[in-house]
Parts: sequence; C-alpha cells; structure tokens
Amino acid sequence: MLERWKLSRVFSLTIFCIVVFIVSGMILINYLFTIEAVKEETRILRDHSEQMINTSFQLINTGLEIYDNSFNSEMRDGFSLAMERYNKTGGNLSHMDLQDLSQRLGMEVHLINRSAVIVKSSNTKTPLLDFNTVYPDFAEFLKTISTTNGLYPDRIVTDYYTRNLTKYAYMPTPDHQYVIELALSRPEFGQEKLRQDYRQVMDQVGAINPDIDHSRLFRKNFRLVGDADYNATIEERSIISSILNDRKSIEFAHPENGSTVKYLLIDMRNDLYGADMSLIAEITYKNQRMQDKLGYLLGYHLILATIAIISGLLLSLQISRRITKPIEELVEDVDRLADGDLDHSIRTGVTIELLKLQESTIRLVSSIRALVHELREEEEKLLQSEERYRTVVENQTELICRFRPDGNHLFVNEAYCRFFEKSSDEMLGSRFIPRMTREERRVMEKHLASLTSHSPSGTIDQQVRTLDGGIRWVQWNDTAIFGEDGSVTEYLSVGREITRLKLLDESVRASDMLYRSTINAMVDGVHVIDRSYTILLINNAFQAWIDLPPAETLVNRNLFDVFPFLDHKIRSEYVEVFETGRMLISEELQILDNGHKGEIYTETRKIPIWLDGRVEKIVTIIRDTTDNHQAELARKNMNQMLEHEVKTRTQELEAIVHELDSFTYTVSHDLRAPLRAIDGFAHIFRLKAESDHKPEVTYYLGKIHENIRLMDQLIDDLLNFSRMSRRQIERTSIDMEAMANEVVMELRNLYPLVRFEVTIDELPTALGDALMIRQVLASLISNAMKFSQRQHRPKIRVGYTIIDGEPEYFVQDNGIGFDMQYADKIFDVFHRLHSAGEYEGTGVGLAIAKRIVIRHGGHIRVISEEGSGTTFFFTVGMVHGTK
Amino acid sequence: MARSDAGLELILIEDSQNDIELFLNVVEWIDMGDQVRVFPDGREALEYLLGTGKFEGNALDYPAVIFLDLKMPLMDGIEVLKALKENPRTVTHPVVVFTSSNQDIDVVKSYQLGANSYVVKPVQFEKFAETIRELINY
Repeated sequence: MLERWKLSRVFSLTIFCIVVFIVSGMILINYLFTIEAVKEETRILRDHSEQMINTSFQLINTGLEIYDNSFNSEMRDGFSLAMERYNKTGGNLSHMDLQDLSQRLGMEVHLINRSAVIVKSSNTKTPLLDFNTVYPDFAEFLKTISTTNGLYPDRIVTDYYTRNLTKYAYMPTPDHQYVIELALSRPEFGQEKLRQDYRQVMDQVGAINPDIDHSRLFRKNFRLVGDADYNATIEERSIISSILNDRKSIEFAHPENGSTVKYLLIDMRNDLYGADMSLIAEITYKNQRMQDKLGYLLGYHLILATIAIISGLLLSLQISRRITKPIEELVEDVDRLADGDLDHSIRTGVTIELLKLQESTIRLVSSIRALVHELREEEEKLLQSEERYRTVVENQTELICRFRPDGNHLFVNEAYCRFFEKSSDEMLGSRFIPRMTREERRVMEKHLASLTSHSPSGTIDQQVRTLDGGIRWVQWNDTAIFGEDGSVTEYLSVGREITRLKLLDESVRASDMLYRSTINAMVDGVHVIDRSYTILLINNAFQAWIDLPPAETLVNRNLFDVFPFLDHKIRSEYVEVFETGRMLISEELQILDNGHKGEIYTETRKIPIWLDGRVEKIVTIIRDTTDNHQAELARKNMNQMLEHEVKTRTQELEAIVHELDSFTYTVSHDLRAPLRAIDGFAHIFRLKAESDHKPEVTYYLGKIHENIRLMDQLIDDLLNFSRMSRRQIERTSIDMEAMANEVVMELRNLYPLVRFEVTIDELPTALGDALMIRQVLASLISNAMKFSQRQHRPKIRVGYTIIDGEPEYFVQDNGIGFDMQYADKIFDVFHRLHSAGEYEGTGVGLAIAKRIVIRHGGHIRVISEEGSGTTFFFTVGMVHGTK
Repeated sequence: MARSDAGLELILIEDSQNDIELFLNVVEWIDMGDQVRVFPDGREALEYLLGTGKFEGNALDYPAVIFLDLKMPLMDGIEVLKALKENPRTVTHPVVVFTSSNQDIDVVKSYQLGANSYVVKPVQFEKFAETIRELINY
C-alpha cells in the first residue's frame, strides 16, 4: 500500500519515525542510567552506615575492655587467697568454706570441674550451672584453660541467673582438677550509661541515613540493648543463632511493606576472654525513598519524550513540504509532456538533484523525439526492403510456388511461370497440376502425404513433359505448412531444374561401364571386397587359372565361398590390411588341382582403400609370375656361381697381397741394417778425415750421409705404406676439428720460420680409424705446408662440404699448385711432381693417404691450379652425426 | 773372469757385427767401453746373467742394463726377454729392446713380457749414437 501514499506523507512519516526512534532511545538510556545511579547511591549510603556502626562499636568495646581490666589486680589478689584455701583442702572440696572466702573477698567464688560444670558455689541461692548446656562455646574455653596455669580475666557480663553485670576471672587449680571462678559485682556496673553508648550510635546513624526506618540491637542472649524486658520472638532467636553460628550478617527483603531488614553482626570476640561480646544490629531500611525518586525520574523522562515526539512531527512535516513540493511540480510538468505536449518547459527545481532530474527529463524528451523520427525512417526502409525481397523471389531462377492441398496456387514466381510457360494470372487461384503419368502422379501424392509436422520438408525428383514433348527434370523441395487443427493448409515448393545433372549421371554410368570392361580386359586377376569379405567387383582373369562362373554372377558373394582354397594365412593377411591400412605384397606358389596350369607362382598385391579414416575396401591384384620366377631362379644360380668364383679369386689375391706385404716389410727392414752400418762407418771415417784436415773426403762422406738419410726416409715411408695396407681398421668416432688442430700444431714445428695462416672450420665428427685418419690429415696438411711455405702469405684452410649427404673434408692451400693433367699421378707411390731438390719428400705420403681413404670406403680427389694453390678433398665412407 | 766393480755394466746381446762395432764406438766416446759386455747370441748371455753353464757359480749380483736385439740366430730376443723376466735373479735388470724391427707385434710382445723400453735403431749414425747415450744416462 505504501507505494500509493503521497510522497510527502512517506517523507514525513520516515523523518518522524527516525526522530522518535533516536530521541526515545536516548531518553530510555538516560533513564536506565539514572536508575542505576540512584540504586548505587542507596547502596553506598547503607554500606557507609553499617561500616560506621561497626567502627563505633569496636571503639566503644575497646573502652569497655579497658574499664573491665581495671578490676584485674583486685581479682588476682582474690585468687591468691582462694588458691591458698584450695591447696589446704588437699583436694577435698567439702573442707573448703566458700561462703567465708566469698565474704572475705567481696566476690562470689565458684569451682568448675574439668567437664565445665560448677560443682561448688559460694552462692547457695542459685542452682549450679552446667556451661555445656548454657554457653557451649564458653564450656570449650573452660576445658581448654583447665590444663594450663595462670590467671584468665574475663569481661563484665550479665550473670546468667541474677542478671547483674558481673566481672569474671578464672584460674585453674595447680592439680588441674578444677577451675576457680571469681565473680565481682559492683553497683556502678549497673549504670547502663556505658552500655547505652551502643544505642546512641544506632540512633545517630539512623538520623544520618534517611533510609533507616528503625533499628534495634540484640545481645548474644537475645536480649535488646536498652530494653532489658524485651523478650525476643522465636523467629528472631533463630535468626540470631544462625548469624552467631555462621559469623555472617544476613539480609531479608519484605516487599509487602517495601522494607529490607539487615541483621548486621558486629564481631567483638577476643581470644583473651571467654566471653563473646559480639552484638547483632537489626536495621530496617525502608525502600520508599528510592521508589519516590524513581517515580519522579520516570515522570520527568516521559515529559521529555512527549516534547521530542511533537517537535519531531513538526520538523518532519516542514522538511517533507520543502522536498516534495518541487517534485510535485515536476510531476505536473512531466504529465503534460506525457500528454503529448513535448514542447512544454519544465519549472526549475531548487535542489541539485531536482536540477539533474530536470536535465534528464529534457534529455529523455529529446531522445524520444529522435526515436520517433527514427521509427518513421525504419518503417520507410522496411517497406522498401519488402519490395526488394519480393523482387528477389520474383527474379529467382528457382521455381517457387505456394499451393493449397487441393492444387489451388496462392503464389508463383516468374521462373515458375516461365518453366511451365503460363502467366501468373492463369495459374493463381486455379488448380494447376503439371502434366504427368498416372504412376508419377501416384508417387507425387505419396510424397506429399509423407510430410508431417515432425518432418515437414521433403525432396522429390519429378519428370516434367514440356509442351513440345521434351522431358525436363525438376527437383522439388516441398514444405508442408500446418494449421492449428493439424491439417495441411498449404505447401511451399522450391524447384530446381536438374535436367543437366540427370544427363551427367548417365555419363557416369557409361564411364563405370568403361572401367568395368577395362578391368575385365586385364590379364591380372582383380577383385574388390568390403569389410565383410563380400565381392564388390571381380574380373574374368581368374578363369585363366581356375574354373569359375562368369564374373558378374560372383558379385555380392563371399570371397572365401568363391575361392574356397584360400588358406588361413591369406585370411590373416586380409585382416592385417584392414587393420594396419598398409599395402601387402606377397609371393606364393599356388598349386591348382583343377588341371589348368598345374602350379603357378603368383604375386598378390592387397591394396587398402580408405574411407572416413578406416579401411573400407581392399583391391586385390593377382599376377601370374611363373615366368618371372623361373628367370629369377636361373639368375640366382648364376649369381651363386659367380660369388663362389669371386670368393676363390679373392682368397688367392689376399694370399698374394699378404705375401707381397711381408716381402715389402722384410726387404725394407733388412735394408736398414746395412744402411746403418754404412752411415756409421762413414761417420767414423769422416771424423778421422776432419781431424786429418781432408776437406774433400769430408765432403764426399757428407754426400754419402745425405743419401743414406734419404734412403732411410724411403724405407720408412715404404714400411708405413705397407703397414697401413695391412692394418685392421678400427672405427671410432673422431673429433676431426680437434685432430686437425693437433696435427697443425705438430707440423708447425717443422717450419719454425714460416708463419702459416691456418683456418680450421667447425668439422663434423667422422667414424674411422683414428690413427689412420690422423695419417691422412698429417699427409695433406704437411703437403699443404710444404708447397705453400715460400708464398708471401701462406694460407691453409681445413673445412668440409656436404656431398650426397656425406661430409667431404678438404685441406686447401695457396701454394704453388700443379697442372691438373698430373692429378691422377700425384697419388702414385714414389711419384713426385717436383724435384727432390726443390721440395724434399719421398712421394709416399699421398699414396698412403689415398690407400687409407680407399680402405675406409671413401674417396680422395684433388683440384689444383698452377700458381694459385691446391685443394685435397676426401671422405671417410661412413657418417656419424654432425657437429 | 774378473768383474769390474766400477759401476753399471752394459750388456749388449746382438748378432750383427756391424751394430756391435758401432755400439762399442759410441760407448767408447763416453768412456764406458770398459763396462760393456757383448754376447752374439741370447743363450750365452743368459748363462752369464744367471751364472749357469760356462759361468757356473758366478752369477751377476749387481745391476746391469741389457740391450737386446730381437732378430738373432739360435735363440731370438723375445725368448731371451721371456727367460730374463721369468727368473727372479734377473727380473730386476732393466732391459732395452734395441732392434731394427718396428713391427707392431714385436713392440706389443716386448712390453707384454716386461721390457722397460723399446727402441728402434736409427739408421743415421748421429741419431743412433744419441739414442744409446740417452738410454745409458737414463
């Protein structure tokens, strides 16, 4: 209902509620706090009064104690006489005259036994007292002191029987059988003035504390101080007993008359004395004063609350008026705008919010104006678009029509009209059914009837006879439109002429025929099977090998029914091709038992045909390889013969090579011994000739030495060459770059004066015999150094190129080079292209290098140009990774 | 036969007269000619070193460097080396296989049998002399 209220009322109510809530909350809190304060004040006043009573009483008691003790010396003297008399009796109390003693002392004398019972007394008028029944606490005190020695003075207290105030003192007899009690009573004791002090204190406190209604003071013996005749009620007696027992003050509330009674224990016991001087103050507090105060407070706060509510009401009315008036004005203005007066201006608001609202409203109005304009334009466009759509449908090459189930046409486009060579006027609103045979009509009706609300669309091909007797094909896509009662109200048909497609279909059929004939003409047996081993296609070639009915009759039959002799192995091969999708070629010997050709060798290819990611069909081509096979057999025999021949020859050759090697070795080895002898003796001879100063002899002997050195080098190289020929190749992975670096470093020592500029590229590792490959590098690099040492800036580069996927290392120099027509000879043993005088060397190094490379299965070649340098290339045969 | 106590004895086991003469020529230069004892074949050398046969009861009991040629008649160097290294009396003598052969098999076999060094005799006399001097000093 709230939303139907006026805004001003909602505002004023809200503000009113808030004000009332806040103010009354504050008043309530203040009220509660004040109550607490009043209660606290009352409590403090009470505590204060009670404390005052307690303190004052203690003071009075102390004064009385001093007064009481002033009689102690008199009592002591009395005891010395009493003890003397007692001692004389020798324990027999009947000999003790207490009356006489009492008279002499001016005090009553009592004898108390160890059970705290008076056994003998100077006063014969009163009965003997049993303390256990009268004062049980005091009886305990007597029992305790009976075992000790000395004087125990007591206070001035009221005598149990006489009610006179009496000063008591006690002394145990030396034999600890009795306690002697002396009781002194004086008339001045009876002046109650002293005792009245307690009452005065009570009255004074009552005057100070207005809460105290009245108070009374009880003694231990339930008598009232100041009113000796008052006899305590049973209830009061039980309260006092329980207080004395618990040694605790207690309080009783009496809500019926609005009072609280406090029984305050003023504990004045003292261990020195047997008598308990404690008093009980009964204080009656009246609660009336606090009630009055609280009532007053409540009234005050209620008045405050009423004032607050009224002012809240006024305030809220004022505020709401100020806020809602401009809103109401605004509502009025907007109402006018809503009525269509879009040009009406809005009155200016007084607050920022209203100004903003005014602006927003003005913006809203202008947006609405723009929207109205836009809507009009859209409408215009829509009209145009419908026009265009209509044109599109009309100009569509596809045939479009709508017709009722009875054949009445509702819409036809131009293409439809053209196709059927009629005008739209002729067709619209009339039954038009294209010409067709009865059978075709039946099919068409069946097609239309099959359209349901679940599948309202369907396609059908229709043969249409034109007026000139030709046949054209149309593919119709019909959509049934259903009315609310579930029956077809009309059909929407879109037709496409497919005459050309139909013609194409026929040509496909023709090409199918062509490939079938081609396959049938093949000499190789061909069949195609699907995953269930059903023959989809087979040619007639099989009839050359086995008796089979015509190929056409075999289609759709199971492969293994047609060829029952296909064994388990062949079946598993088909399974394999279906599973792996890899072509399988197998050769086998087929033994045919029907006498066509006896046994034939065949090569079978099983070719998988993939469709949608799996092998759906297998084409099998079987070729008769019997002729090939026989030729193969002959070739194999020939090969075996040849291999045998080669083996024999190789063995012979190996033997010869071995002999030759050991011959070379022995010869070169034994050649060294005489050479050493010649050089040695020539040297010794030369030393003699030098000492004999025969320079000519020295010169010739020097020549001998020179030749021997050369001969030695030749033999060394020859040995090396021979060794490299015989050494078993042990291939390891070689870091070619590192090896080239090492070799260059060693060889540089041979030419300490030449500064070669050596570049070693990053080289791929090689797989070869490390010792031998090192020899190759050494030969080529030393060769390069040798022939470039005299250049201006000798340069050597070790690098590689890739040839046929294999690294071909090269060593290049910018040395003197040579004519390429001698390129073949350079690798021959002992062949030199330069005279020994020009460049030293035996001509074996390159021969060794070539031999090593060839033995590794690699090749070595050289490119050179006279005057500009030489490059040697070599491969190691096997590749092992790249760097 | 009196034995020199003047230090190291050099024992050359060599059949080639030329090499013996050249060897002696070299050691004479370094004044060690007196300390050389030459045996033209291995058998006699063994007898000398072990104190058997001709040298019965007169075994060598101080160090000697043995220069051993491999290619010899009657008993070749490899056999001599084997015998030397098998006998506890001679096993401590350093043996230098000093030969013309640098066939791999000979080198490997020599070291396998415990040769201390394997040196191919240089053809050139200067080198030959230098090698011997170095071996002796070593």
